[in-house]
Amino acid sequence: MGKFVVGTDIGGTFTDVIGIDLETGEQRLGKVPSTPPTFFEGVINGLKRAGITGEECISFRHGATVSTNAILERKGVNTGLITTKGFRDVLGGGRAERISAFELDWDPPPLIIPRRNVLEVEERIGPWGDVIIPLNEDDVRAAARKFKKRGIESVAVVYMDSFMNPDHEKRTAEILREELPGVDVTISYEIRPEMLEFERTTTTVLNAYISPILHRYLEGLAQRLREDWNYDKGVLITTSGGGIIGMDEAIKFPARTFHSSPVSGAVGMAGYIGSLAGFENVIAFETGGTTNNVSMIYKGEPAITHEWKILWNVPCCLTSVDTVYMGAGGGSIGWVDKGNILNVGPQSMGAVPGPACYGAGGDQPTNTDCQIVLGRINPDYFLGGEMTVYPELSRKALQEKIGDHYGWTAEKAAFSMYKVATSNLMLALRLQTVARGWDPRDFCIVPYGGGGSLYAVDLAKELGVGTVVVPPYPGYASAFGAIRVDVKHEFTKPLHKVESELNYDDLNKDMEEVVQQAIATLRKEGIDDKDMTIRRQVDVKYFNQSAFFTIDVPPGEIRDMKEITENFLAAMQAKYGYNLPPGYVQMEIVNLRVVGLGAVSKPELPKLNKTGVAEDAYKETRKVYFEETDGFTDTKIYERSRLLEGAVFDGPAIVEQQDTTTVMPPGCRATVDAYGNLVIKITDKRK
Amino acid sequence: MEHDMRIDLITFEVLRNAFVAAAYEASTTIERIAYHPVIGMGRDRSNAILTPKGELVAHGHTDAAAHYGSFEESVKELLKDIPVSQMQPGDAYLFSDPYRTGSHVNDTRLIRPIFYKGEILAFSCTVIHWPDIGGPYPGTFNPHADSCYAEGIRIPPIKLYENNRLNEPIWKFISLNIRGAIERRGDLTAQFEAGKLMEKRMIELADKYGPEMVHIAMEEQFNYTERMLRKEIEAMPDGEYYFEDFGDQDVLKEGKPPIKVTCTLTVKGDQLTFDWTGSDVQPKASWGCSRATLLGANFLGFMIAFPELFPLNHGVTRSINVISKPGTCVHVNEPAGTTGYCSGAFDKIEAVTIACLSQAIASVKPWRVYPAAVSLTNLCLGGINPRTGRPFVQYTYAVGGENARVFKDGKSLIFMRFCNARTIPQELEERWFPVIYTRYEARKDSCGHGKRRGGFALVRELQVLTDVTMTIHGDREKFPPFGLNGGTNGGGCALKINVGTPQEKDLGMYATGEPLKAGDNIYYTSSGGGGYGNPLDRDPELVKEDIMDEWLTMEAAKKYYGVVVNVIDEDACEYEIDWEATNKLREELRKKPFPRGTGEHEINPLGENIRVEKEPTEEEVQPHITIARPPGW
Repeated sequence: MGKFVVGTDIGGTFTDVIGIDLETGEQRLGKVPSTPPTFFEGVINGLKRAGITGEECISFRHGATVSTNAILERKGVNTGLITTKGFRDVLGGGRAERISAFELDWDPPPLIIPRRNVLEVEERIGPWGDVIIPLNEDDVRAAARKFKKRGIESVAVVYMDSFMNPDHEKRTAEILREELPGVDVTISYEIRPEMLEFERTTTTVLNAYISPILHRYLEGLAQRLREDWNYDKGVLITTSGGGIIGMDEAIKFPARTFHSSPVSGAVGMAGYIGSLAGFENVIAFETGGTTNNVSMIYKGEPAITHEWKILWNVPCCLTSVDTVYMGAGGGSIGWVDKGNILNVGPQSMGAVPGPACYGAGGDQPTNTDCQIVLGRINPDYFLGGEMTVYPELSRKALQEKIGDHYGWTAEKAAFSMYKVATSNLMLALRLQTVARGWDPRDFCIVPYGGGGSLYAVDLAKELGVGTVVVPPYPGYASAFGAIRVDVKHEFTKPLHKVESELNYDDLNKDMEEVVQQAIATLRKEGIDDKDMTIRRQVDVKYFNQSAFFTIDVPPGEIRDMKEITENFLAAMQAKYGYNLPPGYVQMEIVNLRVVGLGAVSKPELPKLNKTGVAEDAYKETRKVYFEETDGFTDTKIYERSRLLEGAVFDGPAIVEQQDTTTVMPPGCRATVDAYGNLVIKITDKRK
Repeated sequence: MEHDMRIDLITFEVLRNAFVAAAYEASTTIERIAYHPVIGMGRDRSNAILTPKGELVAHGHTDAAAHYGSFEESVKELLKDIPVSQMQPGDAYLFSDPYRTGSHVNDTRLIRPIFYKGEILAFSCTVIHWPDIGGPYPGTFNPHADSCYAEGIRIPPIKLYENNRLNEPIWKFISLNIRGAIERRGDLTAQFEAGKLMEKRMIELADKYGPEMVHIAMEEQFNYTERMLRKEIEAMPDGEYYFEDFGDQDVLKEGKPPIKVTCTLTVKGDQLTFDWTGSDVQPKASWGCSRATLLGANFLGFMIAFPELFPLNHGVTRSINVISKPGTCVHVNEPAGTTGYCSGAFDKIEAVTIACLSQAIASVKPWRVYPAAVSLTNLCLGGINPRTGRPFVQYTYAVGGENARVFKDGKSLIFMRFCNARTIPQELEERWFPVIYTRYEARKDSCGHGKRRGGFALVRELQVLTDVTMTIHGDREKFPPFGLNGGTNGGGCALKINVGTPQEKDLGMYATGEPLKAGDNIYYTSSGGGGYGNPLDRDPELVKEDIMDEWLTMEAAKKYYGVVVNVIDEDACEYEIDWEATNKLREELRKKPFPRGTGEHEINPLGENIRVEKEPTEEEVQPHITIARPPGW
């Protein structure tokens, strides 16, 4: 009987399944079409395609793409919001900013809850948790009556300053559950007990909006797994924080599952693959059809944000792995502006009609068309040969829309467009590193998704990154990532006290309370105490400073601010290169924070255990355009599946596999490692 | 057609993006480390890269746009006092003299010469609104200032940092004259670090591409922008276009007369000339602005009409002619007060610029025809913070209604057009300052009505928890944002205290140094955006939606739109249009002349004639929306 840990991920087009046997290291893969709207069929099909049975599975991990999609497609439930009287427009007003400096024609995406369903209740908790105006329960019941008539299926409750005292929110939830049986209720204190009313409100609203959907979905999935796959050992859901949580927690806090697919790919796959190649700093670079996602792993830890935005005015402010979207996918369009300058994007042809080469009516040159004209993508092996493309249409679009304008050939147009696209990506990647005070030269790039490895080596050369590691199956990154992450929960308690206001006995008591909360949740998810790691942190800043730093707290009781202050100053120095002297103004502790990690069994990437030489994988030689050769040059094409441990070859070269193409310009050398990773070293740095 | 630049297209693309990215990165640094919430959370700051001659190359895209236009003047004026030959690497110059730098004394500039291998490569300029820079009242705003001597300290170009070290005696001198100097040191450091960061980025670019190529890219950026700009201007029909707008009052002049801002725009071939000489003489009170500010407001209005030219740079500023007369309200002479420029002259100049351009552009890009939008209301509170025992200055504002567009309603509760900033969270302010908020809500019926209505104004209410001194510097109380093509003007601003109690008092937009007692309640509200088109042409379904969302009252629906809506079930939020009554009412209203004028919800007589022949649909406009920002942000 096998002992498989199974990861599944649902994408727009494909559902991916990967299972690795904990004991034998055997790996089984399945890629099948996704089956909207329920997606269950695709999961079961994928499991069957991979040839894993429920009995063989000891742990099932799942990326809840359904929650992100429900928000992007506005397919959540009819949701209402109850808030403090007088603050009706905190949600709709947002932070009042525009996306662009001068553009007035732009509008933010429509609100998830229209103003009419934001109802007010008389109550007010003061900034320090005191009750200024008692809760008017009649107002709550009146709101419930309205919601009932309006067919509201889920209610968010957010009161001003409630993070300092949740009594009113909790009582409101009780009344709502009485008045509206069967309706989901989300209170802000349980989602995000932290300052900033707008951010707390949207996060709570997102949770409420998705909660019935995810609830139904996960219960449905669990049922199908039981009935059609004989599996009943629990489903673990990947989170935006780069971990997994149990189904009960996911149903309660769906906001924690948003964008977990790219995150688990970055943390569980790219970070891990990088570490196998000896790197603790990794640029996780995913390229799909319409966008790129970039996440950074630094010293083994993913870069975190507390303000991840699903959409422009829809931040989800839970601790989340920072994933930056860049509009440079395969469908981004190249165009010449009135000032005679060549631009790429942000407009995209998307999947329909798609790039010109699809022959589906798109007449604009896209990034994919450039790749085809430059010989980098093999038109006869598009999606492993499953899709017919028309290179002459790529050439035509490039010639007509760009080449004719400048008096260039289609090839020169393609190359120029490619360079503009990569320069945009390069700048974005630089900002992700240097803006955090990190040197890109200390990183490796791990590309994944269908297009990441088309760009990765060229980007590495531009950025000064020395190594690119292409995993064996870049197209299974999120599913694979799901089986490599640990159970992770995070809890906060707001404090908002300056040094002179601190009572260390109370502080230690509060911290211990949060620690116990974390331990209890981990135990509930079946984690043994010996597998738990509890990280205690505080959010600190100088009083009056706007933003805080999250600082680890040393073990034991906290009796002074000395070590915390030192760590704060060090963090500030590292990130901004300067400090104000201690004692300048008082330090303030904003929040107490506890991260509870539960270690779970993680299968390793299986080793190939077969050696070979590059020639074994040689397919053909064709002409490919490279900047280094200033034109087309004979390039060897290799088949990935036949590249075995120890194979070494130099660029120019192209490696083709069903789920991606890796482009190696001249000046780099690839070595296949024991796991089948392509470790590409830059040997000749550009400029 | 091959391009004729001295730089290849790709290097050009990389460098011009890198310039903007450097400025933006500096802005995010300030956001993270600044001290006062208005700077960190509220983003009242901006960063720019300029050439060694002080020509603007790039600025951040989330900055206070009111600062953009005065970067060039600031650096050029600095160079008049201190030539590059006297500058050293590691210097940073503080400069805040509104007559030379533009805007107001609070907007301190820290200018850094960036050297590369001994030669000047560029300048960086970082502007931060210091919440207080001295003067009689907390926050420095002083609507009743009869001169600059009553509104904070002016700072000539002064070497505040030498060899990257703060000149402590000078800082001490400044800090003795401003409130909250301890926190300001934190903000100053943020300002300084932003400059250092831009220096680092520029040096990296020079390392990689060579300083000559960096300079060529800057110049070609100007040429490129000018090429595009000339084409845009050529496309507009030649002619003269006029508009005027008003400030509420010169509070120090007898009879408190309104202040008129006028412009005649001449379009001829590829030339644009804005002539402001017809504007009123400079007010006695603090309302007007210096020439540097006029340029900034004029350029901003231009950029709003042509956002595809982002970022504002020397290619724009050298290509537009701006004529003004010293001694007028848009070009004041020393010692006229200027702190009030941001609620006074600035948004009038910007709105008039846009209204002039709207007439010229209507036949070419009809979607870029914009009524006026929400103005700034500067609210300053000062006193002793019981939490720290030290003086505090709270500077905040109310966002409001943006203008209607010809294809769509205006956005509500959004920032003024001249500042792509953010609101300061109330829960944060409550922890910094001795106040508690009681309201953040749109004001019903406050939009400019129209076929497309403007956005709604905001009401904020807060209670002070200790004795404070309050100043509000606003405008647009009597002359709210104007509408176009028969759309009405928006609702005006107001400030009252202790509403609904025997102590209720209407203090208006020019209350100066008002002493408030602990427990007093402040109510203030911004203005609503101007409407476009006759409200009687508005789709009654949209009026009904506005009633359901409680933006509009039933009374306003009848009065302005002639739409009669009946309640079916309020709890269920069910309403229906009474079509018969609506048709009848609309017929009646069409016969009655609607009040013309510049007041609240009147139809602006000049604006009435600004219209487009065929209104584009939202779908038609969509492809023209430019989201200018560095890649990856």
